[in-house]
Amino acid sequence: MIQVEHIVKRYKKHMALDHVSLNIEGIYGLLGSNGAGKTTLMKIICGLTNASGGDIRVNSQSMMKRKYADTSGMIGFLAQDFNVYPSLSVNEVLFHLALLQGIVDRKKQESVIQQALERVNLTDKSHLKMEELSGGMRRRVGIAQLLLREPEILVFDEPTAGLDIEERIRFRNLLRDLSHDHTIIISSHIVEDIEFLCTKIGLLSNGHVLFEGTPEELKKKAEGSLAEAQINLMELNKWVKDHDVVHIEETSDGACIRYFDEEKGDANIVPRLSDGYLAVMRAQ
Amino acid sequence: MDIYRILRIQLFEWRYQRLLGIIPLLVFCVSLLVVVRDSSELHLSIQIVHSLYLPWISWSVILYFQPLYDTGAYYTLIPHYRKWIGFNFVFLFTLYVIGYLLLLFNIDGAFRLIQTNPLILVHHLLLLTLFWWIGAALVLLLKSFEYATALVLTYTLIEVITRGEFMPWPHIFYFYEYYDFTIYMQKISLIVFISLVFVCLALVRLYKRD
Repeated sequence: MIQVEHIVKRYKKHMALDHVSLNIEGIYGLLGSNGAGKTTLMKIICGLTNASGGDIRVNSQSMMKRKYADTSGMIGFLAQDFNVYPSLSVNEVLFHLALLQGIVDRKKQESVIQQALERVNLTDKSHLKMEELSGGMRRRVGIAQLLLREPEILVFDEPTAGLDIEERIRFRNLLRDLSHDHTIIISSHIVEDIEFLCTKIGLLSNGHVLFEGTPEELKKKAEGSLAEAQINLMELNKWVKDHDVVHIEETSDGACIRYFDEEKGDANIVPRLSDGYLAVMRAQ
Repeated sequence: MDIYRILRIQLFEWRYQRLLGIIPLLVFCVSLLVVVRDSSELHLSIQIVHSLYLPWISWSVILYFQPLYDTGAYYTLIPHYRKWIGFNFVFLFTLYVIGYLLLLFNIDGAFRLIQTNPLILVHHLLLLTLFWWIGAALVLLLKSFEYATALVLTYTLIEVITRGEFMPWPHIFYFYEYYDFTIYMQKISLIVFISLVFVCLALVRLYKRD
């Protein structure tokens, strides 16, 4: 359990995080638009950025006085892409990173690397150079190198951004598998991934927490404020202009659109996670 | 510190640098050839050594820091760079000093000259320190191997070609055909000052959290 307590981050006059408090557990999804403060918060949790105030507690232990980029093994951070030593093979990179992380014994190195590669399903690609791998594979190598030192908490910044559908699904499954023995924090714009993976969600906007709870609770935020209409395609532009449309589905006789309308809201419409997200954003 | 671990880390870095890492060695050999050929000109030989060989330590340092700026590598590698910076300073410095001494060994009367005028040795060792920290600071600030190398090369080349008398910037090499205590002291003071600036810049950038 990670407790984020009143975290403040100021960049000169700009307040990136304003007394953010969250209780992070399971697979935790950080949602929010660009500049909401997700990456800043993740970097503070990982010790890569200093907070201007507040505290981060992991298992009730304060993390604010630890050394830069805590290498004790508790938290591992993976950026959007991972292309370390591009001209070397996956094996060479992992052996070197294991050495840097203090695993000196050759047999121990081989065994932890083998385990990590099996975990991320890259055993058969270990001879390939990093630059020869796809973006998704490189990210899996990134996870493998994190697993070498067995961190309790894994933090991923936009882990599925830019991946094709197959790789995205493979990556999502991998994260779900890792969640059995790790606390995972994910930031993403892709609401579908968050819905599939996360047991809890924190929604940030302009450095403030707008919502924290389960995906079901977030969906409920849109209950009763959504309406649907079957329209002619010719009317589509007008509808989009005049209403707060959140979803358009083309049908044989036109389009079915879903839009926010507090007055005509239909309580029978089952909201999607993206509807809940938008409802919270609208209400701020 | 585990010597075995250190050696393996160094070997990995050299292997990763491939041909680029050999350039200082080539420069060393070229310097050696030039120095041997002109060994009758004692001061000229020493000028060649200090202006052609010593600045290459910047290249080695810039290459050493370069992997930090591969995509997504920064947060993975920076803790280790922080941890090993002291060792790597001593390691590269020692390697270059050994090369420097080998070069001097090939110049007739070089050690005698340095024994009589130890400020020459002090000047050269400080130059080596300065170029280490210039390389480190530039690559850490600019986050670019190319820009950092270009800046060091431009400065050094202009200084060497114009024999330190052209641009209105600090002239740290000694190109006079005679030994002058006062000028050496001025250069040494200047180098110490600039080194301190670059040490601060490099360490602040390396240790500063975003």
